[in-house]
Amino acid sequence: MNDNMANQKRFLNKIQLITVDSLGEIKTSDANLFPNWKEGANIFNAHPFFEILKSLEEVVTPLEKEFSFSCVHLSEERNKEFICDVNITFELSETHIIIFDYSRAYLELNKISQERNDSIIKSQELEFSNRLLVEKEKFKNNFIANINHELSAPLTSIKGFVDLLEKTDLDYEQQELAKIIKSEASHLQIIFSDMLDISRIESGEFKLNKEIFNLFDLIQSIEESYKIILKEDIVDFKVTIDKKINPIVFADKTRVYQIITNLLNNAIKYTDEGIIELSIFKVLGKNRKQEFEIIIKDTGIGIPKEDQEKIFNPFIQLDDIKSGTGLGLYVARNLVHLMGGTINVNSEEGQGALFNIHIALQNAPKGNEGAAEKEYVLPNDKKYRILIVENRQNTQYLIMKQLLRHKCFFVDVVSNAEDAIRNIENRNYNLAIIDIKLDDISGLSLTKKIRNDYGDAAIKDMPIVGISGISQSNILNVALSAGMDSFIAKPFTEEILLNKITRLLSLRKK
Amino acid sequence: MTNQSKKITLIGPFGVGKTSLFKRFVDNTFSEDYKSTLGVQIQKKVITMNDGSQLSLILWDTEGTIKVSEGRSSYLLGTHCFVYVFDLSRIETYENINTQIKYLKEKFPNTPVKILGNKLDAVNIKNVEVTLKDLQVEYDFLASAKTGDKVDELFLEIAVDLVN
Repeated sequence: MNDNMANQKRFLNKIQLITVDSLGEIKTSDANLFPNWKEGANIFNAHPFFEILKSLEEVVTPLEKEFSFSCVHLSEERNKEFICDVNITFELSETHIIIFDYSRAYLELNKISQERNDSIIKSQELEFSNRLLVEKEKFKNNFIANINHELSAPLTSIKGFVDLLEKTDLDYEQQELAKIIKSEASHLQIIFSDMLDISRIESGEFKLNKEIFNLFDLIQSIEESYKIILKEDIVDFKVTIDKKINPIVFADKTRVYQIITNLLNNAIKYTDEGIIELSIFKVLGKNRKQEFEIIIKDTGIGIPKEDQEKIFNPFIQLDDIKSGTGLGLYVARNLVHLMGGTINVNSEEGQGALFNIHIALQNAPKGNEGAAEKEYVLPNDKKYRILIVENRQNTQYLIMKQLLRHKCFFVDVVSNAEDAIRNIENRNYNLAIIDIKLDDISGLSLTKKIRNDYGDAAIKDMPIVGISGISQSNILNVALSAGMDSFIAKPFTEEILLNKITRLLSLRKK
Repeated sequence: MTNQSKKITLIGPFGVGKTSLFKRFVDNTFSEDYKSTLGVQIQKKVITMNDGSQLSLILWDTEGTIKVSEGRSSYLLGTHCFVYVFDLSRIETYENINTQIKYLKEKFPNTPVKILGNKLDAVNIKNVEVTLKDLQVEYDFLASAKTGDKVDELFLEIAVDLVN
């Protein structure tokens, strides 16, 4: 009995019953929760919550005269806060208010909701920040791309007109000024191009564009360009190419060029005298890929050990006096990584630097090797004598026409290996084009004979281009194994033919 | 002398800063700590109008809900003006705002609604304005409870509108 009474008392202590009149005066109150809310006091002064009574009077109807408000924070001034449910019932002249104190239960609930909300808010804020960052990055990249595009046209014009200006009758000082303008315009173009590449690399938008090209031709064009660039310096430039390389590859030609030239530009920047060497070796050859080692070595100021990792960071230059943005090595490293390769530097201060790139490039798919031949430079130093060994008259005529049109070749034509040997023994040829399928012995056997049976270097080392309509998948390797320097599958275009010939003649000159 | 009182109910998703706006206006205080509101807390602020009369603004700071329909409907009863608050730094709090406002206007056709983007101090307004435009969010105020920017302006504008 005593327990029941205690429970009842505890229960009643959690509830307060209040009756107010139409003016808000408290008529009855048990004052269990809020002692000051007692008879004679005005409910509107008790707590601003009760102002709701005025608003509800406007909406109360005989059918809707009870209203419940859950989880309302109530407190007497400067006293403890209660979290309560409040029921309000409107009668004709009185309003009954019942306040239930559920503070403990509500506070428990609040802990759970606080944790849940905290976690959701943090994740949403993070998501929003990321989204803004992505948008900002996109804006920056578009901006750089647009600026680069807008600047490329005037820069090309500047360079073009300076080229024309240089060909006019300029005095020494004017020539020097024109040279500076040209060099600065090129420099500006490189800066913008590097910036564009970096923004694309960093945003993940950068894509490699593979094409079939001839690695030898690429290296040769680099060699020619840098020999011109360095011709007035007291720095030598030497290029070494591993002949074991199958030069026809399927890769991003522009970016391979960019990697090598960025490193060469860096070498030039820090080398005042001595030599800059570019070497390319085949490290590993698989069916579909060849792994290359590209070495750029200079005799420049060298890089202290502690700075060797820093030099691949953007906007880092070890010597502030040198011009440039410091983006070249950063771009080169990113491009090498995009191609799945590695780049390292070995250097000591004052001892020059050696940059070493390991990169695997895909071989051109079989039958597409000829697609690489797009550019060639005809020799203009002298006329070259070419021997055509071909048993088909139409092909003889075609090759003769393609070569003689350019006035830099003498051409002899024979139909079989026996006549070919006779001609080779009697006359020095700069190059021979030999059909693999001849009537007497094969072009492959003829090539082996030329390579093995003669001590005269003019004969045994003569460049040989094999030609054939044979669609055998490994015909290129067969031709190269026999000792041919290059191979062209029929049908071929004039460009392909001239490209092969001019490249071999140019290598021979060295 | 207080002549009349008007109920203003702050609604919107959780964590948008309704309580901070409420405290900035009533007590001119601000806290960086987020404390979620359970249920509703109510305070009164008496303001003096230009004509010398006084108006009691009874501010109901409600707990946050993503959808208005998910909230406790009794809190909305007798409201003279709603303030729908969203967080400028959390797109989730305003990407569906138009649906919420539509719901509110259908339920309470005669009650004005002010739309306010809070946490102006935490965002780059140029970036956010683009997003707001993309989502066709129409707002009345972009404010900051932290700095107090536009908070008084909001409540004073509501007061003037309600009196007129």
